[in-house]
Amino acid sequence: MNKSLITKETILLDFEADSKADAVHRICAHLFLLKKTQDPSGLYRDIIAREEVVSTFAGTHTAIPHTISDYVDEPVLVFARLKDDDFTWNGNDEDVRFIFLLSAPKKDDLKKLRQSQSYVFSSIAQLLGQPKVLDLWLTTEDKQVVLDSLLQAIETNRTITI
Amino acid sequence: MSGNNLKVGVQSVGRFLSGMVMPNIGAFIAWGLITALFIPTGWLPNESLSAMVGPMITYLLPLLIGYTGGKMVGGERGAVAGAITTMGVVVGADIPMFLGAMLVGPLGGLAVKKFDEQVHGKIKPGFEMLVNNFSLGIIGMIVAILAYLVIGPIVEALTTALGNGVGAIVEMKLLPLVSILVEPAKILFLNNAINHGVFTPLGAAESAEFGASIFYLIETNPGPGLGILLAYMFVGKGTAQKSAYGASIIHFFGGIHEIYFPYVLMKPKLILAVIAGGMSGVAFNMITGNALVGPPSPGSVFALGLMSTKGLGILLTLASIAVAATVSFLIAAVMIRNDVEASDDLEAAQAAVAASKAESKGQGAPALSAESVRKIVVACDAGMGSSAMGASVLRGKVQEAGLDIEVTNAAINDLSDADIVITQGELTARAKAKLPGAQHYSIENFMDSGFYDNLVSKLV
Repeated sequence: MNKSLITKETILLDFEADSKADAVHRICAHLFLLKKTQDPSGLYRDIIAREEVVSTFAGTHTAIPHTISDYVDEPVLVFARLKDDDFTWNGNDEDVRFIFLLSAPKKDDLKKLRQSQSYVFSSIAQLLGQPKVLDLWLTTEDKQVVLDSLLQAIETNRTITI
Repeated sequence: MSGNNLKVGVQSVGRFLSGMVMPNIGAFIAWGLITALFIPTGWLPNESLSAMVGPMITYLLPLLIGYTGGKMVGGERGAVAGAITTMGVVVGADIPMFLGAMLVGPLGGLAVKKFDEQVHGKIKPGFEMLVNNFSLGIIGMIVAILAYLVIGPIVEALTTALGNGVGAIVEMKLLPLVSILVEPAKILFLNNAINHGVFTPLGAAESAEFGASIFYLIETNPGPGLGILLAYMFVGKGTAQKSAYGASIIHFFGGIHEIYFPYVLMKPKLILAVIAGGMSGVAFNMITGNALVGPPSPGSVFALGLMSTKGLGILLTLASIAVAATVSFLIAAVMIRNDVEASDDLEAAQAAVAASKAESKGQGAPALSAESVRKIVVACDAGMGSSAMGASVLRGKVQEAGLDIEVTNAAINDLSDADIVITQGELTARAKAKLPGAQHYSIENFMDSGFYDNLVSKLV
């Protein structure tokens, strides 16, 4: 697995945002500060373009904005736990508590790229099905705890499904 | 096999063949226009540009058909295998290998598909690309050699046999009956082989003696094909009806008969209409003594007019086209209108192919059961986010239920093979258009556990 896919710097606890657009804006800006993207506006446009096709709200108070974009150089995953539960991702969805944002750079073989990134969200889906993990994510103040849970699941899935 | 099953089988085969040709009609049109314009007898003769004609009909068009046939069976990898395999029949033949491509293209796709099914989930991480590329190359090579050694000679033998059959009927002075062989042979793209291999030499001998020959007017008469296209235009529906207008122009004025063949393949019983049309045209020319002074090439109304004998010849030629077209049209129109079973829509035709595939495996009915479902694909726009989550949840539930069903995720654009496709409601129409043969389900969000529980309960 790419070691820089998710790091403590891309785990955001008590993340403040009041709408989908605001949340995506802030995450893109954060990735710019981390030098994960040179063009946060371009990345934002790509993510919103994907959202316009169909919402990425995944249930279980979780949104998973994701895009294949020219504006990142390597795959990056952001975990954001929202501080307040005062907005929905799309229309009448339930409120959002977690955002997982994944972006991967374009490659010639898109099908291969999609397959290679699928294990990330497969892992997240498995974790979302575990109430204990959800409790942990909701309450912990330690980024390392979240990071460990994700890394372990992602690594397991990567070796099984790819 | 019951009569009904036979009928369904013939229709499905016809639609499958048609499905290989239809996506490539644009290439046929390009070739047809280049031919009509630049060959020595064309409208703007040009030796340099006409050099494209031969390679296009010998290589490009069969390869496209083989590629599409492979894709219909084995997705993108199957398409490449289909093209490789088609080269096997193309290089060993003297005639354009359309029929050969329709046979071996799907065969190449099938070989790769079977291999992929065997190794699915067994390739070690990091070796996927190596295995994928080399397996495709090796399988393609083997099937291409098989096609070269076996399929090519079979198609050539079939062509020769048809030619001999036509020759025998001619010798027996039963000329109208020749349409019984000629028209089906045309539909299988053996038109040029029949025309140039049988009728042109016979016509040349006869016209050397009498100045004109009826043999030039048998395969080249655009009337039967025009009748089919007119019938689709007036009583057809869906994509076939809409595309028939343009096709009729290319066919009738451009002389590119290949355009109408897929329309017959879609409803194989229309062969009866073209046979009757062809017989009527030949009978008309026999009775009136009409003939052409040389071979019309391509078989357009203009070329036939130019090759008509002086005086009343052109009127008789036009009348023979009209007679053939009218007979073909009337029979085809009745058949198409009465056909309550099958839609003319090409997408429905593709769905029927998929359904017949299921039926051949003993699955058939749309009712869900573990036996009838071997692959479920959860699909979304990107194929790496929502669908991956959904597939993960469903895979767990399928395994818990002890079902032997493969669950994967994909981008809608990559959908190629699935018994069940699950998408978000907004995307279901796109998924249906991409894979009409599968059963489609819409889901609100991909983590909806209740939806998957319900689906699995139907499968158990």
